[in-house]
Amino acid sequence: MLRKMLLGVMVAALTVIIGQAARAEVEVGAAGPDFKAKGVDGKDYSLDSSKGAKATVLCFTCNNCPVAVAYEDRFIEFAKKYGEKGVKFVAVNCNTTEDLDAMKQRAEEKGFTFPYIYDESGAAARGYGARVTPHLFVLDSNGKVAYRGAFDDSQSNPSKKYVEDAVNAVLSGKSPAVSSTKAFGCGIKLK
Amino acid sequence: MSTQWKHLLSLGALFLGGVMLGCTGPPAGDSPRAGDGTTASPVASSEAAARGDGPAAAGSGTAPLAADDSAPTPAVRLQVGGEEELRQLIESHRGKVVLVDFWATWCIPCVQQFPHTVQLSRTRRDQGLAVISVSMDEPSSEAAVRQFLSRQGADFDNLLGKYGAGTQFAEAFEIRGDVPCYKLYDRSGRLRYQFSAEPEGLENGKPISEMDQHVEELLAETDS
Repeated sequence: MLRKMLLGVMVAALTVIIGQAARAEVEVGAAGPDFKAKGVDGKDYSLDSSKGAKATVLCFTCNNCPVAVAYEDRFIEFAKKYGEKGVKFVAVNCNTTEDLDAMKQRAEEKGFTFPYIYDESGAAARGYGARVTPHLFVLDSNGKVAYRGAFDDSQSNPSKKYVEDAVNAVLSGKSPAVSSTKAFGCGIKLK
Repeated sequence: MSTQWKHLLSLGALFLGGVMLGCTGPPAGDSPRAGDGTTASPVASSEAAARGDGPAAAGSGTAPLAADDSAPTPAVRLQVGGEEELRQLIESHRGKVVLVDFWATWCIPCVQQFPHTVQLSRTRRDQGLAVISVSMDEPSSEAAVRQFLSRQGADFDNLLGKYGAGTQFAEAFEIRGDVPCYKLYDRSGRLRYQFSAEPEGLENGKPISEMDQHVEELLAETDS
């Protein structure tokens, strides 16, 4: 257990330090780049998996970042509430220092009700320009980026629910009033 | 001189040498450099960082180098504040080169890089470098932030963002949102460089590994 924790710390440490060539965030209004990744359920995922969804929320996250971990309950609650409204929530782990086994364990421990997929090559993160965990992207029913940035405005005491507001706008056929915010959290390390 | 005396003298010399070495702090080769974390053993570094006894903290008992910080104060200068407080702090150092280190206790690379910030402050203070740290922790974590800063020997101005981790912090302090991130101002108070693990897209963005050379560059400039 201790060894696992140490490994986790090591991994997280490596994660953020070894900077990769920078990635620009995908533009709002642009088509969300497609990707292929395996989920903790053993299934393959891509944008096709979201076909028919009224909106898709891609959430770049990981097991170890304290900020991402602090948001897990909010993600679970959001996925439950909006899943009933036809919104697909997909958590994407692109930290190559974590693996599917660790992700499976985390998903079970927390009772994730949404796909948790492993972007091992980092292609999805590169495509979207995800820089930190958590970093969120809302796609409309046509797969176009409607929002990018933080889940909400504060880790401890949120007052502006950016993703929820953006999804509500998309569900009512409007453009979100706030379509871009500054995602904050731990840097992402890609291969 | 008897052999016994000779032994005693050489023992004394060894003792004195040891004391003097101890006073000079860690050897130059041990000094942290910007971006060193990329090559350091991550376990050792993160453990040291978690304990707050990184390389820079090894010399934390020594007196400050600058004449203007007259007495060594064990208590850390830390205030909770926002962009206005930071502006005032930067303004108070007009005429100096100012490095602002945005960090958080939850950010491992920030914690690993912190000894380098302390080291830069110590070694370049006499040449006119002023350092300010700004933490993206929650204001309720003030005790933990203070303890970390104290262990690191952060004998410069420290600010704990009143907003906590969030978009408001990033907006107010005009950072992108990923930490660590550093801002470097010249002697006339102009923002000249920003340093990040991902500098692309940042205005005047540079990799963290180039921080030292740009600090030197601005220190060499005279106030215009």
